[in-house]
Amino acid sequence: MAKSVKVDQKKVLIHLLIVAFLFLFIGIGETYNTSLKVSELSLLAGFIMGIAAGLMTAAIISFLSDDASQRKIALVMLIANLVTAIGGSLFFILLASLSGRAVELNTLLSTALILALALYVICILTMVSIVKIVGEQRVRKLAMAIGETRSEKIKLAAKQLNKVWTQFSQNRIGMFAFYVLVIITIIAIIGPSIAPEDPLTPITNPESQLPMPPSEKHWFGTDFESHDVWAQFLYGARTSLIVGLLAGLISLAIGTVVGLVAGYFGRAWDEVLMRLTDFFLVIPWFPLMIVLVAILGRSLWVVIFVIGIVSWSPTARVVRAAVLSIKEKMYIERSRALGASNFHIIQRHIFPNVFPLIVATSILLVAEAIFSEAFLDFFGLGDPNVVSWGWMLERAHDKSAMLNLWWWWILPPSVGIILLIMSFYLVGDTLDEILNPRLKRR
Amino acid sequence: MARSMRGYFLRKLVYLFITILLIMTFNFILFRVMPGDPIRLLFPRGASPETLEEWRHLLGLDAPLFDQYINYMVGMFTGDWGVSFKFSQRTPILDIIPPFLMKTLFLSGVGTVLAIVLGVIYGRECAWRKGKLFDRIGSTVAVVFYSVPTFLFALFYIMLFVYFFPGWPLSGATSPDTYFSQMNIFEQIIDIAQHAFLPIMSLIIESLAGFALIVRSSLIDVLTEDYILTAEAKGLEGRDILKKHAMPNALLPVVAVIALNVGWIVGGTVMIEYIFTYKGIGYLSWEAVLGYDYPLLQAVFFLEIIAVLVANFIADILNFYLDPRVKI
Repeated sequence: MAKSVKVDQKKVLIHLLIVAFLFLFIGIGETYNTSLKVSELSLLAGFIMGIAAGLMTAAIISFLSDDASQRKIALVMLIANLVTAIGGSLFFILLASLSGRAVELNTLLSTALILALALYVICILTMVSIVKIVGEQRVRKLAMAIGETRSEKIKLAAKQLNKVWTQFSQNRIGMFAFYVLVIITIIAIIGPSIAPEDPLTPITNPESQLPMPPSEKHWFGTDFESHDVWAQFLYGARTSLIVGLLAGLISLAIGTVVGLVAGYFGRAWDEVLMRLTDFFLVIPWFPLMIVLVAILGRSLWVVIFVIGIVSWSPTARVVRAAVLSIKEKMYIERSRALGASNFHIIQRHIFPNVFPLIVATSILLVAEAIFSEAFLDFFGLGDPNVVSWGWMLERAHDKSAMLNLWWWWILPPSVGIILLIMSFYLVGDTLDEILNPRLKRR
Repeated sequence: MARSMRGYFLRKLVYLFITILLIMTFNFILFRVMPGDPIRLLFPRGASPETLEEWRHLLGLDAPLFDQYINYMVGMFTGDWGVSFKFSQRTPILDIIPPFLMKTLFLSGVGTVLAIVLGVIYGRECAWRKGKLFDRIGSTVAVVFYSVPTFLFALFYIMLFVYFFPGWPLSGATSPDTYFSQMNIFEQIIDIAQHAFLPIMSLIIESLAGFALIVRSSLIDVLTEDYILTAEAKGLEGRDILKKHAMPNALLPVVAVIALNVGWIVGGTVMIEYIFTYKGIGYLSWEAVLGYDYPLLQAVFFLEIIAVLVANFIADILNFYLDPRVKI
């Protein structure tokens, strides 16, 4: 009995997390200056469609007995879900935009993509729960079989995670950085809801248009056009964090795939992909980012994409080196002798072994991405409609805030950027030490 | 394994050349795939079709793509880098760049040397006092400096100097020409140094911290080796061991990092020059972006890549020379 209660708690927690992330993502739309109604409507539509698609998938799965075909069908259905979700949300946003509001195609696509991703998760959740509920003997047996191995695996993973966490929590600097990260994440999630003013609406101030130092009413003072700096700070946290995470994720995905393919398949693949990697390694990042953003246009999504596509090369190298050493291990040979496909070997044997390396690298990548975003924004290449810490600094620099010593305008975003980057660095470093213990002796 | 310096050198040179060709191709493609017609961006809507055509012809954009490519490649080698869109009418890019390039070379050259020297000393002192208070404070400070974006340093410096030294020059590479031309040579040197001080200080601090951290960890590794123990057993003084046995070995990885660091320095100069209105290559790239001056942006980007490539090349050669383990 006690056990089941525990499981329930976890489930509730997971759902809460998902909901929180959904809000975080929808927040982009909000920060994006589009109408909130558009994203709400499309979310609702997508939600319903997602559940319907999930139900259908579950129903089809339950009528199939063959294991392999079941998996294939599930895969196809999931992809179909994704496509429907994207298409559906796109359609509904379009429909909403017809009712008077002009929405840029760019905004549209990105919002749709994010919604679709969220829906994807919902679909999977629905599907899994439906599979469990459907009372057919066959399905239940199958589900139980899957469930057993899965629960075993989850237990193992949890054990591993626990170990890492114990080690991590003993590192004082790492823990400090971790707490800072948690606080900034909370600010990013709830910030815009507790912001006292809209960051882009000037507070009417008959006395002067000059920035005002912090006062009781405006904690961090106001900027040149009488915007509340505290509100901008709260909004900016979200942008920095999202850009950092998404760009880091893109860069990680490209780097990992390139590294895996180059390392595993070798020969021509290796030659071509590694030359490409060297190429990106050599090109100075910032000039390349500047050129790409200048060409592709100034929007949040371009910035994310550009940072991701420029910064993957170190990850590819690290992953490739790891794959090369793992590939020669005996169990890979055995697995191949048993007739395992390349995909299976990569997925089951190589990737899990490379994974610890990737975790630490990815956190460092996020730090780099946040740095890059702040720089691009500061350079005047960010999205002019999105409030971010770099954007605040750019405007401050534009109005010579430093020469006039308007420190309350400059300090909040600077301290935010520094804290965020540093805590990502430190957490990544600490994790690297734990997961890749060769470094320990230093 | 025959280790011939010449063979290695030639091989690397050929690689360098091929990479440059590739980069040029990349650069060419990059600016051709961008959405929209660059000519349209440059002129207001009412511009006459003749003007558009004339510029299109002047920029060589009316030729077939392959011809454009050949023209571009030949032009890059024969000194015809195209004309700037905005920067005074129809000035060849190669005429615009040199004064800007000089300033950036000055800034980044002095900055790199300073960063290396100070970083190595900093790292050495930290490693030598490993675990003591000096090291703990020192390496924490280095980590903090390492993770603070360069441009934030620049902003803080400006605020500090505005507050404490109100007369300190904060923008430009020299005083305005009318004053500058009246100064004698010493005053001019002092003026240039004064203007360069803050940009260099902001430029080096991140790479300095980076070098310090690398030297520290590499030196700490070396200090645990057996031959250090041997040297100690021979009765050498601590500082002598550090100088004669530990440092030369600890500096090997630093050489490789210096080359990579040139990329950072290049990125750093972009930020720093933008903040201090120091009219170098980085500032030029900002102006090019602002004015949609794609030929200029292309040229500046190319120069920046070349700088990094050449630095890598030199580092490879140096590394080969210094480290006998490097294979051909």
